[in-house]
Amino acid sequence: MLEIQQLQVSYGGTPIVKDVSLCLAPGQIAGLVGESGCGKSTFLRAVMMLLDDTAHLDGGSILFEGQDLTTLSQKQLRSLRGHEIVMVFQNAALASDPMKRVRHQFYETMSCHQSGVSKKDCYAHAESLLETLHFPDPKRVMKSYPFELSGGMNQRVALAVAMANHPKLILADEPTSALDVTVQAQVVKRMRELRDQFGTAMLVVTHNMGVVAQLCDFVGVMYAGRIVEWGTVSEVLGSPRHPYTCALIRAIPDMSGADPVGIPGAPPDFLCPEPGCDFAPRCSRARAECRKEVPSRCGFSNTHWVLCPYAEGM
Amino acid sequence: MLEVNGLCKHFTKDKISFAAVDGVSFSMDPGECLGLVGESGCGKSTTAQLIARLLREDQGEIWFQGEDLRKPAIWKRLRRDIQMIFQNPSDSFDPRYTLLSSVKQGLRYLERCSKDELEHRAKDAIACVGLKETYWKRPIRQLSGGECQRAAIARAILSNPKLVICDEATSALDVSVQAQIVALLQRLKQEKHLAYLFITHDLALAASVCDRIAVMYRGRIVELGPTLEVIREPGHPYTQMLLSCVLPARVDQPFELPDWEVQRPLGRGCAFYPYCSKAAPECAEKSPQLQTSGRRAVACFHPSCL
Ligand SMILES: Nc1ncnc2c1ncn2[C@@H]1O[C@H](COP(=O)(O)OP(=O)(O)OP(=O)(O)O)[C@@H](O)[C@H]1O
Ligand SMILES: Nc1ncnc2c1ncn2[C@@H]1O[C@H](COP(=O)(O)OP(=O)(O)OP(=O)(O)O)[C@@H](O)[C@H]1O
Ligand code: SF4
Ligand SMILES: [Mg+2]
Ligand SMILES: [Mg+2]
Repeated sequence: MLEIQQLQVSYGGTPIVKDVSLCLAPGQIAGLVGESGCGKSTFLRAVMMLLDDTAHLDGGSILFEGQDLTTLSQKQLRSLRGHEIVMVFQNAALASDPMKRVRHQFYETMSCHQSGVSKKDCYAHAESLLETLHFPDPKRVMKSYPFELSGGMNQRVALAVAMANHPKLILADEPTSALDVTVQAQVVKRMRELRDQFGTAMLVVTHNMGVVAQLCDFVGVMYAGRIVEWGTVSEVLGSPRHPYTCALIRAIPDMSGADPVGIPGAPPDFLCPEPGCDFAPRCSRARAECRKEVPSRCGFSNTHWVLCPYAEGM
Repeated sequence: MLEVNGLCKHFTKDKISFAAVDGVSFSMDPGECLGLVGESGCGKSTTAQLIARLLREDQGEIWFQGEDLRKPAIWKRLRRDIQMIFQNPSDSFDPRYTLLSSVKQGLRYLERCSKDELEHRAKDAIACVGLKETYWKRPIRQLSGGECQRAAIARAILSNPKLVICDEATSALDVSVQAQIVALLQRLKQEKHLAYLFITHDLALAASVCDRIAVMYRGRIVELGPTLEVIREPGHPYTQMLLSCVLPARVDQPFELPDWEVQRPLGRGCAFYPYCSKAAPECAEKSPQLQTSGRRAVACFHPSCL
């Protein structure tokens, strides 16, 4: 259903997203994790063909149900967006129009794609959606403007608006980062139900490994604009292979109160890229070859691969 | 150092008034990190904004170093000692300004210091949060979510404050950058005796950075105590529910997503009544007050500790 081939995006000539390929079938949920600033949001916006003016799509293709989104006109894209493919932005409050009440946002999204839907039906549908996302008083929320809602409420509203049309694909950029764990668990459950009911595919960027473990089927680990490890959730979280993935999983704080352990060294600078594997300067296993050329894929199963030749036997 | 007493804030929507913050009291010592956790929409950011004088309280007192912060003259004098990192960092910046000038703005109005010194201190702070020189001239608009959040942290620590209110200051960061920021905050805490009011949803993070933790539910503090004790032996049923909902980041143990319908609040009695497994008839009538015993306090008629 979604097939991305060697997508490349740059900002002002600096490559940010490098050679990203992935496939998603209907009803599959993939997570995308990685260091802050590694290009996750840029990648998601590129899939939606919603890049900034400073960004440039350097190559690759995005096949959605057989048509290549990179070749479609703005008009064709607009008719897909909000209906077949929807995006939930990282900063939910900023992305929504501050002058529009929540109910207006719902009505706009729904009436745009289901002509003839009445306001009453639309509001009723929206309220029941909000209720499943743990709003005890959906009526007040429907009348509110974004600034009258808390950070986590705006985030859930954005997700509910995205779900309203039962799209085929949801691209969600950190949809649960502002939610407490009880509400987060409800939202994860709701997203899984949506997938089970309507076969919605989702690509979810998150920093929360718990969300990855409990929501996703697949997970991609991104480092410096490349997916360096891809596999099913149990493959990647259960037996991580790439040195960066291993370090990332070690850095997850537990409840013991111990200081979290970071990854020594700094992330690479996009402006002065070095040859070879981007993780080499921070990698305990790096050899001289690692600094010469970008490693190619090494497979462990049909679904599990890494960009590292020395990943075996961890 | 900070003492908050009976803080209340109501908002009115379509002539219906509701309490976003409903009698919150706590105190903080210099160099202490107090965690504030709780349900989305329970009033954490509103509490923070009341302390940072961005909202006016309806009732209650805020004392900082023995002085009444509600007095404008005192606030004017003390404002540089209290810095806030907002939940949406991009809201607090003008997206067109460069990173360096945005961070410098943290000091411009607060302190007289030479241009060179200002420049130097700002660059230092930016380096501390792990952003390289190549970012100095970048407009805020061109930063990623986590980079922007780190810029906000740099700006907040620049003026050598005594209290920093961190409203989900690390929620847009991956765990490895978060570890780096946490190390920075811990270092400042030790070196400069900085205190933090640390609002977060990440209980594991709270366990490692907060000395004490306050759990809020529907505008009130329902539990307060040393973080590790509260996590090991939660006293309030809501705290228990919170801890049971932490999604495990592993796949070897099966985890059932909790299943409950959202309930409307009763409007009287204990706000947690509709969800509580321990609820008794009296809970629907009277509202439990925070009861203190030693270093712990719980607002529940049937606490599991105390
Ligand atoms: N409009 C832009 N112009 C130039 N550079 C940009 C622009 N937007 C983002 N960048 C840079 O591109 C890189 C990737 O940004 P992106 O927003 O995709 O990161 P991210 O992985 O989503 O990070 P985070 O987890 O912090 O949100 C960052 O280094 C960022 O500074
Ligand atoms: N300006 C406002 N007008 C009306 N209601 C408001 C306003 N600001 C906040 N509220 C309401 O007050 C309540 C508390 O909001 P607050 O932002 O303090 O929550 P929070 O605990 O920070 O939640 P989150 O974790 O989701 O950020 C919410 O129900 C919100 O809708
Ligand atoms: S390719 Fe080399 S440097 Fe890169 S992660 Fe693998 S071992 Fe480390
Ligand atoms: Mg991002
Ligand atoms: Mg908030």
